[in-house]
Amino acid sequence: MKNLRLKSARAALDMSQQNLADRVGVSRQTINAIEKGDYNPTIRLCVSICRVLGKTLDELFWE
Amino acid sequence: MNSDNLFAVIIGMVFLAVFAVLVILKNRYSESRYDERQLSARNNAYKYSFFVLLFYIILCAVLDVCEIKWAQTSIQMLIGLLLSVVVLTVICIIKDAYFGVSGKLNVVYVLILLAVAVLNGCEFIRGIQNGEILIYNGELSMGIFPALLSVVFLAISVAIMVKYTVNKKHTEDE
Repeated sequence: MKNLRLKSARAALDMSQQNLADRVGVSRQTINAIEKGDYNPTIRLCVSICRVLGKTLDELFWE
Repeated sequence: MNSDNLFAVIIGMVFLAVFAVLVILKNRYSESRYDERQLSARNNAYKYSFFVLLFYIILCAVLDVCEIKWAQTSIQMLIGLLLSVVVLTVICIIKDAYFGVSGKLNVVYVLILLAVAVLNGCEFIRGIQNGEILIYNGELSMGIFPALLSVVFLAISVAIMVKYTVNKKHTEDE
């Protein structure tokens, strides 16, 4: 299932996938896979993404 | 083993040792690393590579038991080695788990792969021109090995370039 909330939160900060990937310390393809729902990140990566985007886990990852 | 072959083996071993030292130094001092998705993809690639090799060995063993001789033993082993390496490498490339987190294409690396492919292709052609025997008594002989190496390195180079082009297009589309 696509994670549109992550995509919109990233877009709201005017960040590209590459920007977010660099800040979080993963590859651009990994961010792309999370947004497309092809990869389920670990809790550690979820927390890192939330910190960078200024959101909570619930806001980005809880269904 | 004649002196020419011995010399080639020694050169090959030295090259392998230098390559191994370079890889160890690179891993120790470079920034290249993999994120969690890439590590997972690489684990899967290792798994597939292992099972392909296992299946291949079983197949060779069955053919040997049935006394179907299709290649010399050394060529059989080398084909198995190349097969598993190709599976591992191509899966890693397809899953974007080959060049680490940066995902940057290492042009020098690709050029080296292409050079190895071309050199082996030339060696194969030279072998044919010099009357090298490719099939002896119905079995593939060592004369075919440069052609196999050439195909493998060419396939890996092409896979890297295709994947890089696709990724670049996706980045532009984003």
